Amino acid sequence: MRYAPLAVVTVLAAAHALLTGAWAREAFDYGSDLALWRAIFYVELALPLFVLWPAVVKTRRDVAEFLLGVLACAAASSAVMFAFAYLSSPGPVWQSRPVVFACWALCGGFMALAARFGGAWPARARIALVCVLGLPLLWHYFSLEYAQKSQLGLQSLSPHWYLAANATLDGGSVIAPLAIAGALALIAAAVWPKRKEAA
Amino acid sequence: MMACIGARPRERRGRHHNRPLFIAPPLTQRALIALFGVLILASSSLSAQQIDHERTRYLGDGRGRPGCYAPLEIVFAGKAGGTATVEILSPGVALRRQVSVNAAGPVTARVPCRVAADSKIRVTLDGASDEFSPEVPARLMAPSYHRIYAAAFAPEAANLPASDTLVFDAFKTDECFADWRMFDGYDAIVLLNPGDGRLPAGAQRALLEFASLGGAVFIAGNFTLESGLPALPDPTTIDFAGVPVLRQSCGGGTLYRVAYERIAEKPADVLVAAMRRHQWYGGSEAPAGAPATRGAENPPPTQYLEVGDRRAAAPSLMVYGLVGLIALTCLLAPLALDRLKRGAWPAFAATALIAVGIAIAGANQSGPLPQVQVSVLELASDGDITARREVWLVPPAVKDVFTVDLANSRLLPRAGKPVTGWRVYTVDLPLTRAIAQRAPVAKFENAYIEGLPFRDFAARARVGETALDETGARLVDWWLEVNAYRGRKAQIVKVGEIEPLAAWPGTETVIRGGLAIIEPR
Repeated sequence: MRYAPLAVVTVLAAAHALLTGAWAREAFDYGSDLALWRAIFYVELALPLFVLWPAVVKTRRDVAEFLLGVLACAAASSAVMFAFAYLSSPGPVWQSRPVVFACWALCGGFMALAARFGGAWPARARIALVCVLGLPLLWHYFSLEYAQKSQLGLQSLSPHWYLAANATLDGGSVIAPLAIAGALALIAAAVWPKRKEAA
Repeated sequence: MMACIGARPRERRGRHHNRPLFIAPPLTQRALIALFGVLILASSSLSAQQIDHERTRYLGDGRGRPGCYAPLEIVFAGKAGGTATVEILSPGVALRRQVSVNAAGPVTARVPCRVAADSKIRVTLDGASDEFSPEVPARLMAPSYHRIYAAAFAPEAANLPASDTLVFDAFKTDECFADWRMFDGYDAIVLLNPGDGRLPAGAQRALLEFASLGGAVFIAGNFTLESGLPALPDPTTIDFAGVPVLRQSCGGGTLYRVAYERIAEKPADVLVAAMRRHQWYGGSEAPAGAPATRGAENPPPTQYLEVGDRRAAAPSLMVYGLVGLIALTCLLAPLALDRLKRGAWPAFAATALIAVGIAIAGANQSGPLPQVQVSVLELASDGDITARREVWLVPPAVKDVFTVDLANSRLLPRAGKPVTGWRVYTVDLPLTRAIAQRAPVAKFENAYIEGLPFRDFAARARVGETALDETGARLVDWWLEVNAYRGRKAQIVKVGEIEPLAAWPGTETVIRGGLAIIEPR
């Protein structure tokens, strides 16, 4: 967790360098700047799912410290994104901040809550988050294929799917469910009794 | 119970004795009163310059060409000594004109307005504005090879015989429009000038501008071009219905001139014959397909023109500095604070604070201007006079609509179907000079180019097997799909350096390429 902001900065800087390169522009055939930004936002939105890994969260102080770490990660990723606003304008970065912060809040909240349980719970929480945030499109296709039922409603859970399916980068209907669930998880993590007391 | 009832009169008397002159109403009532007052003020300010819905109308006897601009007379109440801003709004486009108001009372202005249900007019005077959607003309004049839709100007009233072949809106010569955009929907402009009637200032230029974009101007009587207008090529004489008529090319269109006395007996016959010569390209039968109209292109350019590659912005030293600083912070903060043995939170707090500072600096760096991509199609015939039809692709970062000041600009934009978030405008620029560098590419005749059916030629152009570049190939493909079925002759010419003739404020104009189409008529 201590080096998570460094991981965020490194991954985003590498993604920028990779995606803005001449060969990448030619290979992916970006029709507009918005397409390039969209590709980078996919990387940014994936980071909360993978870089957060709480060490030991036993007390409320540990929860607060972990949340400060999440905040540092979110601020570091925003700093890198704004630094690369030279590509067009800061407009797309501003537009996407609410959904990015909501994503960090959800992942941070659930990882903190899982860490209060200790053991394998953080790993389980990460898998659950990937399934809920990253894979609803897959569930939708499976549902269509095997049950002939649409699961389009799951789009409001997945920022990646929402960005892929909508022209704007603002996150729209995704933000509220993520932010509310993240806030509830944070509160739960904060009020959960100490592990010793629970034992 | 009885005691309570008996006590009330005494209490009431006491209260009445001490009651103040004014009782403050509850908060909700005060809010309602304030809202009511605001509404009264707003309605009074609007009524001061409200558009007259009864008298505001399209000129032209209830006719109009859908999708094109037509003359509209707007009447609104004005105040003395002010300047009103009249805006003609259609999706994605705003035409603006300042109207000086000299006296209180109704003010009349004539402006071009797009014939469509979604067109609106907005009048702003002294900070208050009013909007109105004029009623669409009842008789919509679809483009037709067999029916000429003309505007006829005469000293009194045009006495042309109306028929199914010739439909015209009659105006007086002294009210001839000085703005070509008012003529946009007409196939032809007819001037009947038996005496020495003069056109209003600017009307001659407007007529030439209309002609340069493919229109026909038919002048019977005296007409001498003002100085300062581009010279027309030498005329040729053509016999129409037994009357010799002088013909001059003007860009993509034509000027016909004849002595008034020669056509006084049969003006419509000569006019129709001349228009047939113009619209039918001298053929004895009407061309196939639908005639050209500026209002709507079928198929639209969007189907052919894609957003081109943008020039990638190069990162400045500041970008490297900002990314390096945040990386260094993330690396050093935990290491440095480890020595202080205070836990991780100061490292995270310091990282977050420095990151916010870097984000603010990054958000304030100046980025490249949004690029408006312009493809140019030059329309020409004989002579030096040309007109341009340009396709503008406007990036999503540009939010405002295409605004044209009617007094200072002669162009006319029309919004088209967007492509991948970019807005598309077809922009007409009349009376331009021919682009200097030219290299003929191919001749088009009888739907064949260079011995190939036109679609085969377009397909070869698209894969780079002709002298055309990618933009030229896409433009020629579009032009052929729109025009090839009319069976005209044309020369396709590759042009060199193209100067942008207009620019969108706050953007960088990038000319993607162009093509000239020379059509002898």
